[in-house]
Amino acid sequence: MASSSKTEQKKMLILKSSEEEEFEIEESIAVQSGTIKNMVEDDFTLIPLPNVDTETLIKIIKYMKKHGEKTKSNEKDIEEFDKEFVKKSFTELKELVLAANYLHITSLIDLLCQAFADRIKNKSVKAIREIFGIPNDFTPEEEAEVYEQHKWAHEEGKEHIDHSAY
Amino acid sequence: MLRGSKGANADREYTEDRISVLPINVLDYVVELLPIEDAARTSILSKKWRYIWAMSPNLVLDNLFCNKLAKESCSFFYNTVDNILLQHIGDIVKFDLDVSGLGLPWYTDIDRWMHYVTRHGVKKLNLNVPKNSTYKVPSYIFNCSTLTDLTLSNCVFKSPTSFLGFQNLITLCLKSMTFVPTAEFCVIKVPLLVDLILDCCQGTRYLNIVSPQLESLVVFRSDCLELNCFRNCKKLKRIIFSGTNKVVDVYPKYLESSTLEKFLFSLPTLAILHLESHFLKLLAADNISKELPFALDCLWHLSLHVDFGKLDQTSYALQLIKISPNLTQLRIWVFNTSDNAEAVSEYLDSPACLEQPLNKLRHVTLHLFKGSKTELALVKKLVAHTPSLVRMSIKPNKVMDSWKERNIAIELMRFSRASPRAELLYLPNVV
Repeated sequence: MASSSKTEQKKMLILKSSEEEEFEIEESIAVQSGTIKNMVEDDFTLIPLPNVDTETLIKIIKYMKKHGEKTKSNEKDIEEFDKEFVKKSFTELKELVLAANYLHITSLIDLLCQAFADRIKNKSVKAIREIFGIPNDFTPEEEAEVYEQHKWAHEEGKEHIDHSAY
Repeated sequence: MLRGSKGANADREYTEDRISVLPINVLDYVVELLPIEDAARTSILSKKWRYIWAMSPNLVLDNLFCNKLAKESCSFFYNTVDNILLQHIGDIVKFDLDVSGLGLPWYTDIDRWMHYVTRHGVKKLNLNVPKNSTYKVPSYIFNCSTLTDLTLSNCVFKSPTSFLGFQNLITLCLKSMTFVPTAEFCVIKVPLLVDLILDCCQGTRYLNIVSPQLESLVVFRSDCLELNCFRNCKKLKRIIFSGTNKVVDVYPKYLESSTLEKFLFSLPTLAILHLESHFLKLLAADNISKELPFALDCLWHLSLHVDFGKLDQTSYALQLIKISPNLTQLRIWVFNTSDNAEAVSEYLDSPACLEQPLNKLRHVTLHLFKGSKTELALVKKLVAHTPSLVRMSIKPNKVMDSWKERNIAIELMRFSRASPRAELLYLPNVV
């Protein structure tokens, strides 16, 4: 690592994924993560992240870098980036939100939760169970009871009893 | 259920519950982001999801939702809202109810719901009832000490004599409300209030709002406001007074020009001032070319509606600009009559109009630009005296013929600029 001869030295941190891979990142950008910010205040420069795998960490760093350069003029640009960022498979989003939650990156948690909400909106119960692989562990009586309680929320004619679960 | 095939679309696997492994705080938040019907439906997904929505702190029953339920029948609507509240677990932090689309009598039901939410710790309440209703704000709301954000629309506000105010209220937004005083005034004690919006309200002259921490005061199209009650708001940073678009002589009956002026200039921290329609006319009325003996040291944003056919308004506008040494943003809406255009142009061209440079002014926007002589004279004056100008945006109110636009462009190009890097933008299609 060649040392810079610039008078303005940007403080760098090293983030280490669960697979022991290291990534250099500017401190000013990394502190968008509340967790990292706390560690920096305790004088850490090498931040081990045993809960975050390499692939996910790369995406998170990409997000933080983009949001780190947020100014008034590139708001549209960042909106576009965010829109593209959530166009990922469910598993990837899941890994990302677990990591964002652990790292306390509020804006990213907001973005990802909104992405999940958007995938649930307007879908029937059956479709949601299918997409997210949620097994129906209610007995038919219990399920009927829950259905009665929220009948108004279930559109007429939409199937709520998932017979294919048995 | 076990379909082991790993097809091209990984989302289609049934084998594992992939969303429920997310931590409960994430699931809570996802459900909070869903519209009410989708959120309620999640209760049936599985045992883990059963009570997530029931415990969600926010209940938003918007216009679309309420209308949809009421279409079935009125009793269906009431029963459903009762049901939603009864099955809720824990405190309700945010409750939005918009019944403005419903027509039938429902006062007792709304009272009952207000009773319920105020007893369950509601902090952010937004109640919207139909226009012209005579629904009186119930005592439950007046007695609710947990409120931090309150928005009420179309109700009658008659506070009980024992009303102690809202001790924790930070934001208050009252739209199309009618204020009925019990004594001489309608006193509202809001010691922590920071933001106040009065939109289209009646009876605002009876209001006495005690808000020493107030930072932002926005008044839209409400009849006269008793400004004296705001004299002790030493932290007031932002004032937006907007009337109707027509210059109607409604205000002067209740609001004296000197009162308004005294009020504006008594605010030590005023940073943003936005005066629409007839407010400038009101201020300028008593004030022909008199120098204003005050300074607005903290003012960085000024928005004005100016009639450039009137010398008094134009000169008052310039005065306001001159007494604001830290002004960085200026927006002017051009209202133009041809009354006295010659006199105004003369005034604007005279050196006395603006002698000192406006050192901090960086952004200027002219809306509803019509290309008249007076407007061009103003632009010329401003551009010549703003050494820090970054951008002057000129937005015409409608499409002009290309000949006229060309002439305007030629004029604009000729103006000498104090700031060499200033952009002069003519934006015909931008609102």
